[in-house]
Amino acid sequence: MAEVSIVDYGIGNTGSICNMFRKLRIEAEVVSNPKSLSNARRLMLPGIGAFDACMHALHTSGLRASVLDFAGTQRPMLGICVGMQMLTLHSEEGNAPGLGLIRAHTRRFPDADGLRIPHMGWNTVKWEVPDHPLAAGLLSDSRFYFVHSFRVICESSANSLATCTYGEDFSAAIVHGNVAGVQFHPEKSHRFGLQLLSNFAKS
Amino acid sequence: MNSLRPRVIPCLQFVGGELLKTRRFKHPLYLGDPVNAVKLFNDLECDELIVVDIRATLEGREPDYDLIGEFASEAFMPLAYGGGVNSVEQIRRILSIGIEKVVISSAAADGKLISAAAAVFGSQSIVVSVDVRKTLLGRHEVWTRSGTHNTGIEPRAYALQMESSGAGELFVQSIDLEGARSGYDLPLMNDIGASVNIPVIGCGGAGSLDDIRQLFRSGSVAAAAAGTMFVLHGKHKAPLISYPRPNEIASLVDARTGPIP
Repeated sequence: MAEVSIVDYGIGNTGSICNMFRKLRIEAEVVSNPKSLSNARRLMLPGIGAFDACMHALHTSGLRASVLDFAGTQRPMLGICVGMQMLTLHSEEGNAPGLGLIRAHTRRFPDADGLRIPHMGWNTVKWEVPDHPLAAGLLSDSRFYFVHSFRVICESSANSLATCTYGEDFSAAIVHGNVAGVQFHPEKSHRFGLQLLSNFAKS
Repeated sequence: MNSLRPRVIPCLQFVGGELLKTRRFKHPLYLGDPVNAVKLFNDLECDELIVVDIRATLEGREPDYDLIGEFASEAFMPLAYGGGVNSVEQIRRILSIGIEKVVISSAAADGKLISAAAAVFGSQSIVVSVDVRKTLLGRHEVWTRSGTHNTGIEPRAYALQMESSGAGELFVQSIDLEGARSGYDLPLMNDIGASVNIPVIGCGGAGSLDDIRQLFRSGSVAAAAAGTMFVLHGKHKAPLISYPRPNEIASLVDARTGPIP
């Protein structure tokens, strides 16, 4: 049985994520029906592009309820990029409600002088919960690849697993119990991303 | 901070299973296996990588999806593919393989594919290649079809049109300086960089880290791309994959570096 199941609802970088698990020699599978999703040991929710497009695609794929059910099982779940934003209450990018699994808001970057949007490139993060399993081996000298125009602000700092600075601080990783999300792309972040996905597969 | 360190991006050319390096878009030199080159750049932890099939459009070929899949399976950094891309369906297939960005050149000219693709996949995955040649009178013009077709359009106007169509990045390349190792076309990069708000990747002419440093000081680009410098070594042009070490990358940005777009 696969260690990690990746939700395929029609949008997302499942190819890149599978490539990285193959490199790690960790068995991963892509799931696109409710039954195999509910059997997953660990679930990854990818996402790319527009927030509403992702939420609508998740809904029309018939997997939205299964993802919410899975979050209630206490098995580990990880959202990536827009997949992390989907865990929040909503996004200023669109009108569709988020999954609301973590009390956080996805907002546009502020209009600040010299702040180019999207935030695209390599940046460092500060782990606010250093002993969290996802942070293992990544506390110093790690960097991750980001590309996003909206960022997540948590209502409570307790849900902010890691922060990043671009213009101002935002949450680069969020967590609530078994549900976590990362704004950056671990599947495109060299050995740092490999470490994070390996951490997830062991969590 | 308000800006990120500008990126340093190797740009690889290939045809079929052969890694090549051209000069002024001509004189292809055979260098070896492109998949191995991707693997080596991955091991060197490069910021990002661009791979371009330089004959696909001219030969009317589909992108080689099997080969692209082999690239993707070796690249754990952002990877951009260009060459022969002219439809939304092709872009969908390339992105699903595990490529982050698709570079569009010849099919970009009328803007329709760019706006359609940006609407479906988001601007962040759509890079438009702007290949530029200088006329005898020193005027810059945009060329397509691997430098065989002159659009006659001035680069700044072309860049603005691509930005408004939905391009997420511009890959601006000087054809005249490709392989020359004499430095980037700074006036061209400054002209485009100052005109658009999307990130500009400068390419063509890099021969040393100092050339990249000069480009970053101009403050006009978000990234420097180079081919020759990262795949050939010495005056005899021996194939050798190289990439600056982290401390060298850090040294490319100094107090005189301009505001990075």
